[in-house]
Amino acid sequence: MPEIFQYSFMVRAFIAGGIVGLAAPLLGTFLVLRRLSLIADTLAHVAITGAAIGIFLGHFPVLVAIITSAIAAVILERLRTSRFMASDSALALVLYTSLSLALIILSIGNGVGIDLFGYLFGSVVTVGKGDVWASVGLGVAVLAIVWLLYSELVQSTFDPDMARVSGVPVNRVNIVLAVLTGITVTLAMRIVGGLLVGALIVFPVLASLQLGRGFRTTLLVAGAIGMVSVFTGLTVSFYQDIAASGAIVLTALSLLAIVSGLKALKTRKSAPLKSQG
Amino acid sequence: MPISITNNLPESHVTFEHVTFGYNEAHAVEDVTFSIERGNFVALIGPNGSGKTTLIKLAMGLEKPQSGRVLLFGEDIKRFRSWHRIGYVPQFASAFRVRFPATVADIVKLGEYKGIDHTAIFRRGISPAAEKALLLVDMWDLRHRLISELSGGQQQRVLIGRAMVHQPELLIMDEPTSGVDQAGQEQFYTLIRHLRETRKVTVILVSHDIGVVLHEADKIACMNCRLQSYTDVNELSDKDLSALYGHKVDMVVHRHE
Repeated sequence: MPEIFQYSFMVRAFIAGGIVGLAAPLLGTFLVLRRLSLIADTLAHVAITGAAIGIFLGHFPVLVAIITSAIAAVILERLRTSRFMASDSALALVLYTSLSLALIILSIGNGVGIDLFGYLFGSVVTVGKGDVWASVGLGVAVLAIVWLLYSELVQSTFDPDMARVSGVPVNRVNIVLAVLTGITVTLAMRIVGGLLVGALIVFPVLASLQLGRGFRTTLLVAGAIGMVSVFTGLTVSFYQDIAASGAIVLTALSLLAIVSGLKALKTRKSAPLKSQG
Repeated sequence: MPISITNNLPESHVTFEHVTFGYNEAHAVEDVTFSIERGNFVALIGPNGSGKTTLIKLAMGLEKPQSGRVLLFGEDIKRFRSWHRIGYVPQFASAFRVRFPATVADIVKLGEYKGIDHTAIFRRGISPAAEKALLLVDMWDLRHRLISELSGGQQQRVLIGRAMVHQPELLIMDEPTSGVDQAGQEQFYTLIRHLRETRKVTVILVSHDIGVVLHEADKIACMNCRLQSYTDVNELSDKDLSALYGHKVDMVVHRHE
């Protein structure tokens, strides 16, 4: 057995990280195409606040983070669809509200900051059995929802009004997507940290979109790129002793660069430059 | 429950009854009452911000009237569920702002939606209905192309194909030819004429292009928050149009006869 798997915390990180690495871009594909990439970042900040509350109260920070993030997801979705404010304003409102709450909790709770560090930047060594089981549950839920609601998700991503006129329950589908995103973001936060979660949701999708294939292929390739990024990043971080979160995100970025480069080469070949002059 | 006897004719496809709607304080649509009958081709015209798009959104239940009510095929929109009877073609789909990863055939197949279906993700191939719709809008040869690679006019035809795949009785379109070149426009109206002749489709079209709709539509609804006039196209006068746009408009109608 390779050295890396002789440590039980690395095995746990590979299982939880692999599942999250698959789930995040699956949901991310729908978010990116709805131009909602930043929803992940907002929900991650909410999750950080949730974790801070949990640490402060001394109970289940991950569970508290999942619940707060899921509730925030529903509130965001409601704000977004109401005419009360624009989408990006709603994101800003929720993001800064939660961040200021987190800062207040940090200032009144002794030692919360030290524990919270792991949630901000990710902490592979603290991934416990609970995280693994939660990730397995989440993975199953995301796969099941994408499978069952595939048509509804695609329809409402393509155009919400057209979807409504076709009889798709768009609002309910959006709530399901938002809540799943909230949960995914929280669990991904354990591995890549709240500050970088958005990258795991967005980068693999951007890479996959470069391929210019149909929806299903884009979805599957994005998931695969996410998983490969997590596995590669974890491995590199273990042997080089660098931060796992940074390694994972930079791996995803490298894959995006490679795919974009290959695509640029291909288009140049298929469409030779016109002679100048 | 006794059937309410109102003055709606049974063949009325869309009925507005004193419909009022506004986004803020101001009303975008005010006290609009009229009905669109089966087989009609109604063009909704009016200046920018006159509530044309809002009115068709109200007709499809995308907005809820603050007062009054909307009936679709004689049924209150609040209870309406027979979505397969309607086809909607927006000005553009929100997917056109991103590089949406789908082929022409994929988009037309979206029109076959019939509710939650766990086999949808595995479905490949093109159903006979989708094939027919692709041929109808002349996109069969381009069926494997990504929609993001198409021209505006071609994308519009894909959206019409998507709307036509379930053979709706009512087709609602919002400025479908804006940004489409002359040839594309000609092709579009030829298609609409064909649909009306072969399938007796009722058409509601929001348009800025008065010149064209005057010889394509058979009824014109002039909107300026209120319904200024709703007449047969032959009865529309220069005066109606001048009142609508606030300046003198001369109607120059080129009929094909």
